[in-house]
This record gives sequence, C-alpha cells and structure tokens, in this order.
Amino acid sequence: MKNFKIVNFVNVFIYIFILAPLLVVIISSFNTAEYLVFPPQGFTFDWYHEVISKGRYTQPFWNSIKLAVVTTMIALPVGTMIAYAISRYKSRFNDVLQSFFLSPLVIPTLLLGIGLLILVSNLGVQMYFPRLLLAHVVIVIPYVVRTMIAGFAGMDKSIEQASIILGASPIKTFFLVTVPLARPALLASGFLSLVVSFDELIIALFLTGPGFNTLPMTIYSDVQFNLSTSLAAISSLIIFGTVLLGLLAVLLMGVNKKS
Amino acid sequence: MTELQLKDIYKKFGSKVVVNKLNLTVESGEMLCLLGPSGCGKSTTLSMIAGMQTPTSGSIMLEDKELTKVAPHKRDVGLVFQNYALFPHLSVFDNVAFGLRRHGVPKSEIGDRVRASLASVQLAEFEDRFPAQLSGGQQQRVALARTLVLKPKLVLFDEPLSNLDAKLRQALGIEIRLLQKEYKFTGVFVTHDQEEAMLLGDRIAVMNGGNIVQLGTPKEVYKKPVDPFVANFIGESNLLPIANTDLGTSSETMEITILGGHKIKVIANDNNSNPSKVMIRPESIEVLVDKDIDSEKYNYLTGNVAYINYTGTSYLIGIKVEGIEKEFLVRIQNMTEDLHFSDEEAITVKWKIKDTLIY
Repeated sequence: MKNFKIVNFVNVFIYIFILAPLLVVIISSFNTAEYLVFPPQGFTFDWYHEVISKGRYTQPFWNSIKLAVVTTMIALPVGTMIAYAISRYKSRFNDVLQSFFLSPLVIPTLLLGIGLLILVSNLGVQMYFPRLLLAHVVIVIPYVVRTMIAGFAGMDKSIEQASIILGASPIKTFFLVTVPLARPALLASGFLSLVVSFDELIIALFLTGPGFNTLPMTIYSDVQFNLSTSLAAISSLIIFGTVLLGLLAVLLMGVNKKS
Repeated sequence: MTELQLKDIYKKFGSKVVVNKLNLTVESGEMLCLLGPSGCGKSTTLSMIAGMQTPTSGSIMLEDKELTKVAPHKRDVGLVFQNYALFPHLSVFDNVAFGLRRHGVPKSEIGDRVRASLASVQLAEFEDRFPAQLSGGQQQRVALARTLVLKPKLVLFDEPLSNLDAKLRQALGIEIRLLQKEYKFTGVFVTHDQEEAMLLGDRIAVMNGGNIVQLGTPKEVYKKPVDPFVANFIGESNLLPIANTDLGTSSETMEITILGGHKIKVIANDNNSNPSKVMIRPESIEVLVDKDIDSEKYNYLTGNVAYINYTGTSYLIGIKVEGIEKEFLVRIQNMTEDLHFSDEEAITVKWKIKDTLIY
C-alpha cells in the first residue's frame, strides 16, 4: 500500500512535468501583453484572431498538413508491408532488416539532414515539397514499422491460417483478415506518422529554402526574431489539434474493440 | 478406399528432425487419431497435410492426387484449430459464409447453406452474434460449421478439444463423431489425450520421436501395446524391470524373476527372446480375498498398502512391493467390506498370466 502511494506521487509529478509547459503556453496565449511573458497580465482572444486572420501562418500550415498527409499515405502502407514481412516470414536476416528500418530513430537528425541533403542534391530533386516528402517518409517509417510489428505480434496467426484453409489466397487473407484485425495498430501508426511529420523541424531546415516554409519552420523563425504572443496562440492551436486527432484515433480503436 | 496417403514424410527444422520417414494411409470415411506427447511430430504432420508447412522430402496424396505442391488455399481440406481461430471482426453468419464466398458460391445459395450448417451444430439462432459473445464450446461449434459447410473430403483436427473443460470435451467429441457420419468426411485428429483418441479414433497412430510407433484400433493399441512407451502412454500401466529370465520351465509359460526376487509367469513368446520389462494393466489386477491359490492361471504379488485413492468410479491402490521403486498400481471397481485396508497393511493381489505382457 505504501509503495502504491509513492508510485502515485511519482506519477502525478511526471504528469505535472509533462503538462506544465503546455499549460504555460495555453495560458500565455490569452495574455494581453505584446511579448511572451508569464504570468499573464490580462485576458484576450486577440492573438487567436490575429493568427487566423493575418495569414502569416496559413500557407506554412497547409504546407505542413499536406506534407503530413502525403507522408502518411506513403509511409503507412510501405511501413505496414515491411512490418508484415518481418513478423511473418522467418529468415535469419530478420534482425538485420528490423534494425535497418528502425535506424532513422537512432541516427542523429542532424546527420540524417546532411545525408539527405547530399542525396537529394545528387538526385537532382530541386523542388522542396518532394525533397521533404522523401525525407519525412524516411523518418516516419520506423514509427510505423515498430507499431505494426507490435500489432502483428499480438495477432493470432491461426486466424490467418484459417482464412487460407477456407480458400482465401494469401493476398485476400491480408485484406479480409489481417488488415481489419490490425486496425488499432494501423490507427496508432497513422496518428504517429501525422504527428511526427507535422512536428518535424530540423530536416525541413536542411532541405528547404526560400519560398517554402513548414509551420514548425515559421514558428522557429518567429521565436528567433519576433517573440510575439501570437506564437503562444498558434502553438495552442497545434496542441488542441493534436489532442483532437488523438481522441479521434482512440475513439476509432475503442469502437473496433467492442465488436 | 484410400483417401489420404503419406509417403516417407520427412521434416527437418534446421538440424532437428521433427518427422522421420513417416508412412501412413487413411481410409475413406475413417477417423484416424495421431496421438503422442508434445514434440512427437504430430502437429507438424498435420500442418504439412494442411499445407502450412512443406515436407523436406516425401509426398502427400489425396485421392491419388499429389497434394504436396498444391497451395494451401487450393486444397480441398478443412482444419479445426485448438484456439477456434474464428474471425473476431465477423459475425457468426459471416464466419461460416467466409469459405463459401471465397469459393464463388452464388449469393442465393449462401444463406441456406450457412443456416443448414449452423443448424447441424445447434447454433441456428446465433448467426448475428460475434465470436467474443460465445462460450468456448459454442465458438468451436461455429468453427466446425465453418469448416463443414464447404463439404471437404478431408477434415484435420488440431487438438480442438484441449481448451474445453472435461465434460464439454466429451460432449463435443461425440458431436464430432456424429457430424462425421452426417457429412461423411475423412478425419485426421491430433491429440495428446489418450481418452480423446479412444473416444474419437477408428484407428489410433501413436507417435513418438517423429514416427509412428504403433497403428491400430483403440482396442489393439490398449490391449497389445507394442512397447513400454505405448503401454505407458495409453492408459495406466505397471512396468516391472526383469532381473532374470528362466526359459523352458514349461512349454506354454515361462517364469521370470523381477527385481526384488518376485517370480512371475508369462505366456512363452518366441519373438521376444530377451525381455527387460513386465507390463500389467492396473485394472486387470484383483485383490486376493480367499486363500485359493491357482498358480496355473494366476500370478501373485504381495506388498504393503501405500495409499488408496477414491476416484468416484473406482479405487486406485498403490502398493509398495519390496525391491521395486515405483508403487504397484491396482484399480478396482468397488470395495466390499472385506476389502477394507488401512495404510501399511499387507496385501496380496493376483492377475491372470495371459494379462502379463513382456517387452
């Protein structure tokens, strides 16, 4: 019982540690002061109004959304197929393959950025969107692969065997049985992929140039040159958006569990 | 008529031989049980018939057609799993209809066939439920309906009763026999449970170390086990190590001395010239009440009662016999008043000479 209380205390502390910065940002976004200060000096929605109406963040926002969605549309099926191959086909290269596809997670982003810059320059990819898309698919795939491997590992293989024995080809089995059963893992992977791509800054700094900004890039440059309270407002909007997306994913997974 | 034939099936995982040159013929319409301890290769054999695994060498024939190279989804074979393996995201109806749809059965026919199949396993009213809403026994019956609706020639059973409790196990076992009569399929049933094998099998193939040790009807396997392994695996047995064989006591019987110096007579047997063990089934032994000794017909053994267990239908008496390590087991149906023993009490038991087997 005593241990339990200590654990609870530690838990609460961890939550405070994680949530406090977010709360500070959200509270600051309603501040009347021109610059980011805490504690706030008054209450206003002006900064939200400014962020939405002035349009400084509109184009970067859509760039980031487009990038996150297209990245996910590519990384989710590719990562899922990689994870399926690793979990279902036993070969002695399994560990090597798994490490290879998870390696972007452990390679410092800085190195990855330089490497990708050299690669896309040599490939002659001039446009910023395809450059970033390629890079984001690379950094997002480990998240998909890892989540899907866990999802496939928790799945009873005999259900897929039953489908094959009943006359479904392996490909039909994949779409009729494996994919529906992997739905929670697919949703989790998709969510992670969207968030990781949307949030990515360092590689975007390396690979893009004038005329193409992602939302994190715009926020970053504002933090450097113009510490306006509207930064807190756009950050809070991102937080709300992420939480909503997360809730949606959890809701969809929950529905799946019931049936 | 021969339905399924396994010829020299050999399977290696890495350097480990799991199935070693196995030959087996299953007749049309019979239920053959593959019985053995875990790791004996029975599940791997089943898996190869189903096509989930490919034999390293050897061939599998179904009705004179080579099956070894046929993809698993194109074999006309059904498989019932230990853990049911129903599709959790589909209703009972859709689970049973799954195979029909894959085989391109017309829509108008599917409804009727699914309902008929569900009715044959007494689950007619359950078509709208999901697997998670059913008990283990019901789930396995859905799995049976899902398999049988396709009317496969051959149905494989991979320990389908192992996850059920004892009572349900027997009921569903009998149901499977009845379904076999109704649907007229040939069955191969894998189990590690000898009672299940006895209940279900027309013939039993006892497996050990990747091969079949004995193949026969339940009665043959039980009454005449070919070796101590089979004797031990099928039912209870007393295995007594032989100390000395004295051949030629008489023409019909020979006398054997077991450890502890006890003398036992057995029917003389030419094809076992150098036996090492004597085997007696606990239920062929009686407790000696009168002092009538008939050593022409019976063997006798005296020891002390170690324990008596009441098991509902019978009593199991463990007897400590001098010179023998394991308790000598005797199973008797009912204990009358004069058969009342307390622990440590001296007891003499007898059994027919013809019930004494040697290995």
